[in-house]
Amino acid sequence: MTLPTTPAVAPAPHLPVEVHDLFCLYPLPLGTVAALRGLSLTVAPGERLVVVGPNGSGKTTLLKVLAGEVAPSAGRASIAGVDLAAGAGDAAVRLRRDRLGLVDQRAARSLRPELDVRDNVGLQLRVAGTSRAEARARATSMLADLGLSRLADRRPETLSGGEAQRVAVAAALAHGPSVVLADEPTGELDVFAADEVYDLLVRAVEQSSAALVLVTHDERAQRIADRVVRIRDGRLGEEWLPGGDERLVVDDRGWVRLPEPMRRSVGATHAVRAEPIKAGIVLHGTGESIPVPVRTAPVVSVVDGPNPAAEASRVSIAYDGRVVVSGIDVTLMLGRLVVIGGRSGSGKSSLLRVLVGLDRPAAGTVLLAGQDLSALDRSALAALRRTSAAVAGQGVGLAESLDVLENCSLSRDARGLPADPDRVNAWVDHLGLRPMVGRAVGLLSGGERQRVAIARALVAGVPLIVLDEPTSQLDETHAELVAEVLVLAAQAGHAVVCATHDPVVLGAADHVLALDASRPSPR
Amino acid sequence: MTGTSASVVPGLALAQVRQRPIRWVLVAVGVALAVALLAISQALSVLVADRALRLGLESLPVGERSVSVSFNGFLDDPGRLAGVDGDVRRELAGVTAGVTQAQLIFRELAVVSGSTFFLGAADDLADRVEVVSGRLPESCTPTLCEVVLVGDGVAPPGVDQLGLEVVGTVKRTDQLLLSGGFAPSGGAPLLVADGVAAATEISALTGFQRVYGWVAPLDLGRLRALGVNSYLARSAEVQDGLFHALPGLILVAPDSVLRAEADRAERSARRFALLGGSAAALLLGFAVLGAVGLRRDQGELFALLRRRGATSRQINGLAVLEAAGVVMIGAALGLLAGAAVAWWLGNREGLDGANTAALAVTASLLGVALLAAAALLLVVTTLVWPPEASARAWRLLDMVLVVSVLLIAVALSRGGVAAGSLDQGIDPLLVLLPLLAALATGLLAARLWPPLARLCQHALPRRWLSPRLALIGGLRQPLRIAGTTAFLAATVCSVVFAGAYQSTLAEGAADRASFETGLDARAQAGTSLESPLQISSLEDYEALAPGAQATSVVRSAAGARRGALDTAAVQVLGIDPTVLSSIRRWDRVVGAGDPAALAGRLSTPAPAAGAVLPPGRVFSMQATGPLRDIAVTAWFRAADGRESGVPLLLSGWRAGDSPASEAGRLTAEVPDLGSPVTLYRLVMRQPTDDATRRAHRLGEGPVDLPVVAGTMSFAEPRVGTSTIAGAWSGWGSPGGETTVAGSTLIVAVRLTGLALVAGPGLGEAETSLPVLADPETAALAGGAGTVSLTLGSSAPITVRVVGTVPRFPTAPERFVVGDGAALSGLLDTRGPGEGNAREVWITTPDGGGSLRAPLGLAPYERMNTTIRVDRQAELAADPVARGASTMLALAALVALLVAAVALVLLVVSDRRDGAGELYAWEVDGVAPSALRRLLVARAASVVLVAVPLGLAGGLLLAGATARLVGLTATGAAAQPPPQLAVGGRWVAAVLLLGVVGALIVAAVVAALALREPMPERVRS
Repeated sequence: MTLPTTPAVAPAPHLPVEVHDLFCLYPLPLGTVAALRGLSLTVAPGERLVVVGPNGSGKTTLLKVLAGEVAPSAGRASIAGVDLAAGAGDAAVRLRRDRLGLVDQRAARSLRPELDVRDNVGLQLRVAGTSRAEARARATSMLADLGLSRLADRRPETLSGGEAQRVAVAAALAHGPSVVLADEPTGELDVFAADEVYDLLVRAVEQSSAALVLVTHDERAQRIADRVVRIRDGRLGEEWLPGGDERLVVDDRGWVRLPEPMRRSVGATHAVRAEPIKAGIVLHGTGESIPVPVRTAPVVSVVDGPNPAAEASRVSIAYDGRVVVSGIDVTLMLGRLVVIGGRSGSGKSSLLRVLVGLDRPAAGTVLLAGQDLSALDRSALAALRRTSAAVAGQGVGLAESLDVLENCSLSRDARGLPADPDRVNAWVDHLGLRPMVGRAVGLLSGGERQRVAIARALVAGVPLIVLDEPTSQLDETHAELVAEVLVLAAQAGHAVVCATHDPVVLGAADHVLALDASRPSPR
Repeated sequence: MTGTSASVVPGLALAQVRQRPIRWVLVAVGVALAVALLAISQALSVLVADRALRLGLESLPVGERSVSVSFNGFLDDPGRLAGVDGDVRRELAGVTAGVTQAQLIFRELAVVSGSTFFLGAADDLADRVEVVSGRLPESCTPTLCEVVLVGDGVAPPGVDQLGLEVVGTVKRTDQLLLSGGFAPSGGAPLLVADGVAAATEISALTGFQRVYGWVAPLDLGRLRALGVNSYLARSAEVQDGLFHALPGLILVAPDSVLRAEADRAERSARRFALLGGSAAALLLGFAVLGAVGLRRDQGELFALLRRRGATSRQINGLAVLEAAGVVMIGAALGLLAGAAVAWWLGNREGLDGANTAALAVTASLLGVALLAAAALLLVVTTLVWPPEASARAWRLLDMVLVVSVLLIAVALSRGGVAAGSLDQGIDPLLVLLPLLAALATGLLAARLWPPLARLCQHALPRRWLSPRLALIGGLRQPLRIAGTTAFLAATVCSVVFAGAYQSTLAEGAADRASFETGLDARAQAGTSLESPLQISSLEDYEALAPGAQATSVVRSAAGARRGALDTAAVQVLGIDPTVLSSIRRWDRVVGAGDPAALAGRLSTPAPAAGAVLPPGRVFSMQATGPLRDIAVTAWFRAADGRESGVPLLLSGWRAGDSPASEAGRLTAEVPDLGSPVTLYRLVMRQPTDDATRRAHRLGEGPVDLPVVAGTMSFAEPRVGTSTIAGAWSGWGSPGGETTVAGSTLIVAVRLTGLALVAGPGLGEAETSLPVLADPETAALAGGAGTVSLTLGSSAPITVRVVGTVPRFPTAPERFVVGDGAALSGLLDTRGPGEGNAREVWITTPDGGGSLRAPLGLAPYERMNTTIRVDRQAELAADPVARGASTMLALAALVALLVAAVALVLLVVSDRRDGAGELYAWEVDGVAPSALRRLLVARAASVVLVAVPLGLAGGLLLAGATARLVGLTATGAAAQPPPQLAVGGRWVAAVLLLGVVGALIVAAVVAALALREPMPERVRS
């Protein structure tokens, strides 16, 4: 089977995306980091390409280069025939304005609070010089086409995460771009909301016949792809058709480098399927899945504390009169990993907050470390959390100027705990953070920072570990790593509770609590 | 597509400002404060100039506070007089709206009895005088003119012979009536007729010289409206117009006073511009802080627009449009506020408030434009500077810091600046010095905060959680904290500078008053030219106030040779050495040495005092010698140093065989010098008439003349009938011509010089006088440490420098100070009377205040007296000084207020923008109380870095300014030079009211934070 390089769409004078031998270097205080190392890639008109790869592999950098935000250090990149070499300047600006649609991971970064949804969708048209009335009319039409008319007059802050991201997609496509670049557009969404966004993306790019480059960790994104490529260490590693075999990319810069005569002689000019045999590896068939590293038991003591660590009885949670969780019972036992699932807005995060006394339930009782939280004031709740619960959530702030070890130590200091280098080092090692020691966390990637936040919670040594979407920025490998660490934490005696829709973590759970019973659990 | 790519910008700009109104308001407030301060400084400048002008005019005699036209000559023809009158009134209307009065005065007239009087005339006499007795004149014809006597005098008899009839006595109600240049002199009575034209035609006075005049009050309103320079220009035009109308018409106006006060006001205006401009520029930092608060949101907007394809022009245009609107609103509000304050100040000072406001606004427009442009540039740069270029921003700030320090170094290396050079504005660096120093201090503080915070967060004990978290969190986004640190440091620098400089100026006024008086009061000869000791004795001066002590001071001009052809002028001062310890503010006024030790070095044995005279009025003695060819003067001296020379009159002259055998009695009246009085000098010289004739014969004749010579002997003198036994004991003369034989003094006279002086102790070799000297004069001393000083044509005196001091009260730059009695003796040897004390210094326990009343009474009112506390108050009350003080205080208060607000804003911003961080720590179990302490600790960290640096910067700046700008608070060159005074009260006020107060408010704000029942969920 050969991979189609050009889908059946109208020919164009230039390919929407052409990248050849692309290098991109970042200067850092301790030296230069190469984010892209000779990457080559093309995208055909109307093609939907999904780009996956581990954290730090260069996916986001590739998108930034394609968006003209970062100049390549070497090599060639062009979008719709516009060369994005250093100094592209005005051409890059025109490209972004007229030919590109950019979808960010966080909708909040794409929508302005001072504008309503209609003006947000029409903003790019306005930037291009369209009058306000015309821009609003076209935005209205766009929203109608995408089934979002009911949101047109709303303010961004009133939208749910899924709604905001769908509006952001509309805003990125309202001007009819020929190429859409999407960076983890569903990173903060549950699986159901993510599906809606994917569907919307497909509909939108089909309407405008645009090519789509979608960078994601979400395996489910492959369902909308014409082609999938994986980037490793700044190079194209593999590529495959959805549902098909992965093929190793073999070229002068790829992970597998074969002399061109040899490639030519076997008809493998671009990619091969690798098959291990007793005598070696045969390059023709499907490859093996990514091996998960073998872990040793954690060097941590078994956690002492009341059992259960936390307990919620007939808890209801409501906001502005709207009940999001109704009469739920949860018991978090030491030594157990509990995953709370459910679609966006189903109250996963709210339940976690209630469990650790960051919010009050509308009804029901919550016990943390055996204490009824309703009897405690804000200060007493903080004091109880200090000894009973650690949270790694999306709202965790890291000390940007400190490295991972210092952040972990600071976490213990904040709880009034003595220094425990053994415990800190153990969790840092388990989370694969040892190479990051000595680097300020402000310089780390999003996925690395997320793991630092988990380490920070674990080193506290408290009975209850609470995690909110702990793998939202992690690639598959590291998501598996984190899932394993959570299992280890439970084995060490912690009660671990985690709100997520990541199937990897769901798969590791001792118990899954689905808050949205009307929808099937992803498990 | 019907729009343009720029059309999106205004709408977005408006939406942005609406979305974040508070932070934009802060930007506008910063600009408004800066602009208002600038306008207020201009208003103060206007007010100070006006006040200085008023005081200058008030110091003039009443009659000189006018504009007048005079004509010395005859205007006999009524038609011509009327024509000239019309011309003058028309011209004068150009400089004054006041009523112009015509007047006339004849030269001093005499009647047959020999009595003299003045005759004047004035139009509308009834409106200008008040009848004391009799009545007003009712008619004036060429043959009989009714007149009135002005004042308390008596009309001379016989004026009727001139066709005048005195019908009453009046007193002036119009102080301009025949005053100033028309005022009679010499005390002769003044008669006034009603009507200039009528008096002109008095037939008896047809040929008598007279002066016509037109006088009008000085129009302060016109002066204020035109400004001094325009007024003076108008005055010159009027003078030209008068000349064209009638040559000889002379305009008299206090132009020189106006010019002097205008110059002073100009100088003060430059100072206010310096202060106001610096303070205003500093306040722009507040606008920048507001912009820093907007950076995050603006950055997100710009990033989105960039991703949406917006051009740099659109993004920059958006930033400029947002900032320009806010800056313009701020500037307009600032101008309005400044105008309102100017209006209020103007009204309070009795000026036209609207005019004052208009002047202040007009004068500050250029500065406002520059400020607004600077604010726009700073705000836009702050908004659009990309976050990823923070390293470049720091490098840029480092460069600005280095350049500022270099410019400061250049300014300091240029040395001192005098008042004149400031007038000419030749050193812009000096004007910029306060701003540069505040800028450098602020940047240094901003640069130091991050490393110090990093150092401290490692060094602090682990249990000090709140301070550690405060520093760690602050390092996450250091721009706002560093900016606040910079602003606070610059503000503290500015405030401390203002306080220290104000204190330095105030101390400078006290120093100057002390320098001008020496002790607590100084009495010198007044217009009567009587020296203080001629008016009263030291005992009487000491009796003027309880505890008063008086000392006489001898002062003489001398020359010190410093080369073959060059002589430096040196003032020689003689003073009682024990008085040195009583000199006020010695360390600042004199500037070196221990007064007691120096007094010990100056002490000299008292010169021989001479014979004490017994009571009696007539001094006499028998004498032989060429008594008609040689005049003898006896000099008497009181114990307090008063001297009086009395020519001895010859009586009972008997001819002898030779001039040496002539005999006679020399007699004189003993001067009233109190008791005891000594005879201490005899001076022999050629009689004045003989000397004149001799000079003529020498000059005109072909032959030489013999030197006047002869031997004179003086028998024992007596007062009344009492003989003064041993009167000649120890007498001699510098040339050794004098011997004492028994009770007779024998002098071998040979008058090759002006005179021959004999006295007690004068036969002994003269020793050098120990003196203190200024460094330059001391440098003239040779190996022996002596300097030869020439006093007129007398023999030089030799002084020995025993100490060097930079300055001495009342002395010019070059001086020597010696023992007063010894110096007086030396001077009297050269010329009796030369050693007379010229002034008296008095000290009292209350600093001289108790001398104020008695010194104002007779006979002391004839002297020129200076009382230290009064002089100090006068210097402090000077409009320029008060204006500078007000400006400094205003700048300090505004800066203090803004700094306090900035500190509180830091806490508010940390609470709001750092909500995610605080939430995260609370999630970790950190108690809200610890988080509140975190907020306070972060503000305190700013204070701990900013305040010491600001204090140091402010003091260094004040010290440098005091050293560089040798001006007093009144803008005059200072003597002694200004020295840094810290102004402890100011510094305490800054620390307590400003910084500590702000910290307390910040703590209160922090204490009110995080009080909600549950933490508010925030994503970091």
